[in-house]
Amino acid sequence: MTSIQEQDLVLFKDNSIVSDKLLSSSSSHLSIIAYTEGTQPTWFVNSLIENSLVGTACLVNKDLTKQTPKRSQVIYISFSNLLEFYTKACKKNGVDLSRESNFHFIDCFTDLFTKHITNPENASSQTSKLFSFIIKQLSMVPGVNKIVFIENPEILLTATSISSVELSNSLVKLNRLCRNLFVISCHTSPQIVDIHSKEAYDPNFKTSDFLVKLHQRAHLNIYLEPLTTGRAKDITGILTVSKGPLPFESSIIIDEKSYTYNVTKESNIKLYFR
Amino acid sequence: MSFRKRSEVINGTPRTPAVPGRAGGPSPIPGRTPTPGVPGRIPSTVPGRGPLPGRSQKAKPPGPQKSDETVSPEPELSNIGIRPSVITSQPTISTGTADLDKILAHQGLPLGASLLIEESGTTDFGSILLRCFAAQGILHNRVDEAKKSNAHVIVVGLSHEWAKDLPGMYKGSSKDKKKALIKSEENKINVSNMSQSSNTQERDLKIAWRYGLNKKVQDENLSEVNENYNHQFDITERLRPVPSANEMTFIQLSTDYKKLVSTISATIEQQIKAYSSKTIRLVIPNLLIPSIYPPSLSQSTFMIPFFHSLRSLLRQYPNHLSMAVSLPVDLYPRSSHLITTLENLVDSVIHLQPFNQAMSQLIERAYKNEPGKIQHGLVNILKLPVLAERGLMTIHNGEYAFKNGRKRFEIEEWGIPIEDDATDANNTPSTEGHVPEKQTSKNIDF
Repeated sequence: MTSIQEQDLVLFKDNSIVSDKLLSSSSSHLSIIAYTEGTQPTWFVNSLIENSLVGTACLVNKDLTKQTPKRSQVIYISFSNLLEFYTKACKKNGVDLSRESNFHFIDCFTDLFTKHITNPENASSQTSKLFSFIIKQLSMVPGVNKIVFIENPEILLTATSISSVELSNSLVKLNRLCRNLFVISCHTSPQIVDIHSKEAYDPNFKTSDFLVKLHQRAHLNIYLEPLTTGRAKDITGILTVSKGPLPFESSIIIDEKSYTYNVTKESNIKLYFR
Repeated sequence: MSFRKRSEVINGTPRTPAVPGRAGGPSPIPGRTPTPGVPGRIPSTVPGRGPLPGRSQKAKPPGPQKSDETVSPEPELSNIGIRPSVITSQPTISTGTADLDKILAHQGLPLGASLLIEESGTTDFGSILLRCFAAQGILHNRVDEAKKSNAHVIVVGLSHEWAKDLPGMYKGSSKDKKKALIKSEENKINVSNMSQSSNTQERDLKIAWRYGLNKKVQDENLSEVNENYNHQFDITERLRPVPSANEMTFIQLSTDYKKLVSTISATIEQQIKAYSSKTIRLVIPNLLIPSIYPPSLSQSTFMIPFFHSLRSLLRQYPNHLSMAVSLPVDLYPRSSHLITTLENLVDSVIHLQPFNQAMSQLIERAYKNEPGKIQHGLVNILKLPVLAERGLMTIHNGEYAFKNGRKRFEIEEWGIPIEDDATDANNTPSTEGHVPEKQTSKNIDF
């Protein structure tokens, strides 16, 4: 009897998810986690948070069992959820974010358009003020081993008048302050990313422009998409790990792979080589 | 000797007994006070229902609640409109459509979550679902024995007229209605009924004791703990009396989304202060329809901040607020950037896709002898609350179909119907003169 063997998730050749070499590096890196409708990356991001904080990844890699407390400082900037959402979601990974002193949450969700950005038609100054606040918070976090996650920043392009260049510049500033910046964004095509759109003020153009430029600056690309053959009961989607246009240092080598994965109602994850 | 007419009701208004054949509720006849806890009678404090009015005052003193209580305290079990999700145990409310509750996977819509109903074509089935959603909340106020205000409905963008079209509760077929009428007549306390019932009651009790029927009635009572969670609505009936301002709030659209959001937020606060376990149903019918929404409101600089702020409100009141929105996608197609962003901001999305003319004709031909089976369109599930956020693939295209009848809005698994003509054609002999049935009837076993 044959059966497909379950695999462990690794992003780098040293069999790690967030490599030690990446944390000890002196330069800053950019990684993009792109997803489409139906393949939200919550489980993947939770494993990244767990691995960055304590070195394990109990749901996706059974070999990473050695706990390294306070491995890095994790800063999560969310434009779409409250801290409670991530705290609840990470409990499955055995991490209590409310007790982790190395986890910092910057809430850009609760009062985003009622307090922080009150004039979406002319939002440039308010957006830059918001990012100045984020950068200030980030620089207050002690240590240099900082892993930053920013979720759905592209909503600012859709909801406000700011240009893709303004948002890109703000993210570059953020990136300089950390070892690795994970940008989590929705790439549904052609609704969100449409390279044929030409109108400069069209949100579609702005978002496409922003995401294309971001990809050109990235070191690591992770893409979650549904099966091209249609829905299956035992497979949720495909996870692809690939190199970005910019290379890491020579010692950090990306393990380019494609997995099929399945997420159950109980948030159990199974990965298989494709 | 009595001089009363045989049909005259003794002691005023008729009573609805808890158990058929027995007198329940407050005793109208002196000296016949029902003993509490008698088997077969509905207990006064059924789990999941409200405590007695006198007792509730002891548990919670009247007066303004503390401000921190308004920030989403745990909902009380006493709210008859809430029950735990079958998947996540989150407090969940019914959408007013049993089949929609079922396909949402939680047996309802979890509190703190939103539902977007998209619809193609020129039909307006989405409005029926929204009306049932609102009517269900209103009905939770009216059927509660404790007379508590369990739910409040907030409608955005429409006037009070909308409330007049809410569907009424389905009371059964005409046969059932007649039966119910006869039963209610029988249960009236008048001289003729009493003389008849005294004999039958004794006989019933003996039979009940012999066959253990009393026990059965008790079990039934326990299983009916959450019987008021959802109701069936009749779209030809109207909910009467029309919901009052205490039950429903109408908020007019404004060109300033911040003002709109703050009005909604203030209404929620006010309602929760009045009763901390109240659920709030936010309803936004016909989103982006040009007759309601002026062009400036369909801009992404208005709509996205507005929806983002509503999402924020939903997360701030995870035990009180839920939202249902209907959106015609012919004017704003699903392939547009605005609609996709809105879909990303809500927790669950379903898409109603009425059949085109050719398909409708095919179904009508296939079910010409069974008109009750004719479906009206497909229900595509694009996102399910909580599960989609966890990363599950929740897109189900073309797996369910809906049909809208007087009694209910039904959603069932979709299968292309087989036409009789087609099957007849298959059964006709082929050109070579072979009859397929005869070929297969041969015994080929060795």
